[in-house]
Amino acid sequence: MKILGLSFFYHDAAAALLIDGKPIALAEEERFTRKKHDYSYPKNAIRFVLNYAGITPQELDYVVFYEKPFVKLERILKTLIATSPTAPKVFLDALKNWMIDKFWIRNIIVNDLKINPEKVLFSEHHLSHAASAFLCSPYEKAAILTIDGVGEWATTTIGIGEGNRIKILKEIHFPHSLGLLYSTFTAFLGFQINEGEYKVMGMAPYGSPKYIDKVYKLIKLYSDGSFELNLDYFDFYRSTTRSYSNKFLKLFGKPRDPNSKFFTTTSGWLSYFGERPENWKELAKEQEYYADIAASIQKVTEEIIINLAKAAYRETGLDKLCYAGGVALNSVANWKIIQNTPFKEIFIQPSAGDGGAALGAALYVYYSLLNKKRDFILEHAFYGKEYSEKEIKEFLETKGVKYKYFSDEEKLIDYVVNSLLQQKVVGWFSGRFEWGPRALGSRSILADPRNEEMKNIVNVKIKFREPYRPFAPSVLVEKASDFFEFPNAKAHFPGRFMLYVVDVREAKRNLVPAITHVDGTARPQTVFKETNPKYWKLIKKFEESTGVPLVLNTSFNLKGEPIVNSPEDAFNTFQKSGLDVLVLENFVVEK
Amino acid sequence: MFGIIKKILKKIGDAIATVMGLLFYFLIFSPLVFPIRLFTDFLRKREKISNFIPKQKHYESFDKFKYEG
Repeated sequence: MKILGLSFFYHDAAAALLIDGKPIALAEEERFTRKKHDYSYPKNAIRFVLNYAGITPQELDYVVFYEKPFVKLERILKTLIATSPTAPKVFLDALKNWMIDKFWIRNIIVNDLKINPEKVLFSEHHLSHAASAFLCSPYEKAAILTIDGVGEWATTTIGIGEGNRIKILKEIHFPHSLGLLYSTFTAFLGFQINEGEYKVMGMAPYGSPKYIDKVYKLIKLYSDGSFELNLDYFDFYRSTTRSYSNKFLKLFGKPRDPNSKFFTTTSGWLSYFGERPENWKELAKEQEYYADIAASIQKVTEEIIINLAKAAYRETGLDKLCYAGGVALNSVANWKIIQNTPFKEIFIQPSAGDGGAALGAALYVYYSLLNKKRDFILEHAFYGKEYSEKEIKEFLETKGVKYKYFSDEEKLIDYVVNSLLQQKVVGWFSGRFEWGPRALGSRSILADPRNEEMKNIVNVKIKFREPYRPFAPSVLVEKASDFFEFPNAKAHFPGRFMLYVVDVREAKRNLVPAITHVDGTARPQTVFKETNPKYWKLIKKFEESTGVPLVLNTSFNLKGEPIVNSPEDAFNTFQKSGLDVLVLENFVVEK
Repeated sequence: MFGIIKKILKKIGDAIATVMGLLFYFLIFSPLVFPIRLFTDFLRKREKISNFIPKQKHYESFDKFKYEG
């Protein structure tokens, strides 16, 4: 049984191919088109997953789209009714989008794949999210929580999964959305919606949550865990260009200038900003205000998520939680669920946002609708494209690039570890690329975590990104609890996918300053020998040389670009940045 | 040359569509739906103790998966 799951025309377009219920190839379109968060029809991702499996589109049994477009249209029309006559731009944009694309989803799929229209199925947005978490989790029975911006109507759902069945029990409807609340602050803080949420999370530890009371003016909490937005403070439901209203601006003041430099009186003026202006203290105070806002919205978000998780526990009485939706990528909040609710374990799959819903839709059809017994757990994220040595060699030789070739993996690893010890920054390209937004050792930039200066080197000279953003460590799972307040790390699936932020043990913070954020936390990826042997060996070798069982790992891309896919993407990034070493499987290129 | 003419025609087409859309929005759509809006505003003001809605529309069957809506 071959099932293709698809998501497109909203956030991250993706394709997921299952054969007999097991993922064969999973990929987001952005990796191929090099357009971050590309939401167009995922033609390239589809071609890749089919080619990888060696099948033609006609051999597919079903193609499942991740949501119900007409139910979404109903929501848009009802919102237009509720906002008329104040939203002409939304009306025009909706008219254009729907007439050109969204009405014709079945036709677009059928015309591209040349398949029988009856093979095309439509799931429901949050059901796809729920399935993407539960049906590849290790749990026979679990509570399910999904939270995102919006699907058709739902923005939040609570459900239960048992065996191969999923039942959504209750939901919160648009416009009351935790995802959209967070996005509104993302825009206010000068970042791009659906892209800058990580930056808000990274900025929050530089501030203190002084403005929680103000944030709570925007949102009403009910004792059962549900919430309601005060729409007077928002414009996202009646504007295509602005999320916050004038009343919001009266409460919080002017939005942060996206081009302003972020620093605080504690961090001081950073040398690589250039010459220090005379009014730098004044500028620092201004930025501290925005950091306090970031800390406040992060804190409120955590409180709401904890309330919702507690509601899911009360509803189901189960101590395992499957969690999905874009908000599930808020790794700071995820660990707080474990700390503050009766849930003992959580499962979050690496592509928890809309891209991952393509996988969920396909899983739901196979296991739930076709009533198949579950026999699959998503233990790793390496389902993307890989490149053979022949392809890499051809590429390097066509470009006339000088390289070293290591036929012995041990020697390659020794070489890479020596480079790290010499404080070189390494672009590491190995195996199939990752499913989801995190680099987990297939397309990663690696550096020595013991060097405090490494944070600035990688942020400023390599990735050209904001200097306050933290770096994550990849740690041997066996040693994770030695360095982090992360007991029994093996049992926590989100750790594999870098989806928890935990405290670095106080005694170890000085040892690994490059991966310790300003508040003493880190977002570790636990590396398993069974699922990523080459990367595990590399970290093990680094430990043997230094006593530190972790490396600094950040995604292999430049600011604003998707993570690299091919040797060519990797080489281009290597050339444009201050990377010292590029490892393409067993080939090494140096500057 | 043909490309330039195509671009100009597309811009004219977009402009006509925008004007038609706006006329439709302000002269037909908004006057028709305004009473409905007042009613929904009234509903929104009712006192609530929860914002959870029990799941009403269920799509968990093969037949329901066949349709876009």
